[in-house]
Amino acid sequence: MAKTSGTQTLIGLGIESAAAPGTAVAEAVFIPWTDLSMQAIAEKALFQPARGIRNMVANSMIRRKYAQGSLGFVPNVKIMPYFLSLALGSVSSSSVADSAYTHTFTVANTNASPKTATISVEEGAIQTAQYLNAVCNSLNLEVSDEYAKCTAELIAQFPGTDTISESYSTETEFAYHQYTAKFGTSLSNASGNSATPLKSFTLNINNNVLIDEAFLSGSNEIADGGLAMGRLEITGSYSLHFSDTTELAKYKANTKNALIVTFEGALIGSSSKETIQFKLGKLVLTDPPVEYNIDGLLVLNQTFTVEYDATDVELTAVVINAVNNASSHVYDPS
Amino acid sequence: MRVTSTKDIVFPKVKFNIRAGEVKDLPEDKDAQARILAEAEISEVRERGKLKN
Repeated sequence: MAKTSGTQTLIGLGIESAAAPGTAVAEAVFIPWTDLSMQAIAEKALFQPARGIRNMVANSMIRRKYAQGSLGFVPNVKIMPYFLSLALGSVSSSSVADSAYTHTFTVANTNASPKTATISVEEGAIQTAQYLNAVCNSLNLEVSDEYAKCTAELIAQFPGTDTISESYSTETEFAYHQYTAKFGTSLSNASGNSATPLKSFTLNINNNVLIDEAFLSGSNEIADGGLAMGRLEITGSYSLHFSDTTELAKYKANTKNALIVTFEGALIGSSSKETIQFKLGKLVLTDPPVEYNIDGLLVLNQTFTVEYDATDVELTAVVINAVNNASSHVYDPS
Repeated sequence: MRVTSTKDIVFPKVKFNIRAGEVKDLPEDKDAQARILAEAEISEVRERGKLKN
């Protein structure tokens, strides 16, 4: 019997046309994954009647057929835009400047028509599963003193089959020494401030996909375009050395700061750099932060929720790379 | 046909790889050629015409 190793599992992804969610598209990017749990789910309902015998189950059916799971990867400027498009919903791309293109991702409030993707997972020679109408339930970013890590939790239709021919380019895989964090009273104020050294940073974009609304009479599967987003929750945390009362005072007085987190990599043009940036409009610090380490340093662990702000909105993500999305529309096919 | 790339790229299935800036002949197989040329980072290198004496 042939055995298949985990590294023989290959993943490709393409964003589907907004006009035709659930219609397969070719893979636009191949993801060097670090964690994967995406798979078919055939949820069972058990028939458990009283029939004069002691055995509890007398019959069963498939209650719901769909796919769900997560995909972990190290963020880079090639892969990240696809997941930001899926997680946030709106993208605006610039024309070329200094050999680089700037893509700005913002929250789409039209929650009934989220961006969808075709995801193909080749499991060695066993099978290649194709997940259509995949939406991003949540996107998580975490970075401490290593490579950064993103985890996308995805929900899709029950898989079919596909074939893929993968390619992998060498990219700048972002790590902790490549990011800075700037705080301020507003985003414009933060951009002019000095960076604050952090021990760690996490960000979670949770779309709370309404999966219970996707199963209607006539089918136990998700229809094309049948997944809608719920309310958006943006939360996260950061930790830093407790060296003065500035950060503690923010928690105690509910002082709402803006935060700009920027990863920068290699030069693209003469001065443009590969960039992934998160602009968070208003952080509400939610948990008591002081951590007393008897053998170490005092640390503040700030947990936050992002509040909407009329000027700074809630979250804007910016990616600078060499992809001309204004013509190719790989991040937002019409 | 010769191609070049803006990045190091590997194509495991078609057994082809190329380094950033390298100029390389495409494999003979037409499907492999199509797959490689579909990559945004790869472009064809036009042969320069020979000068007449």
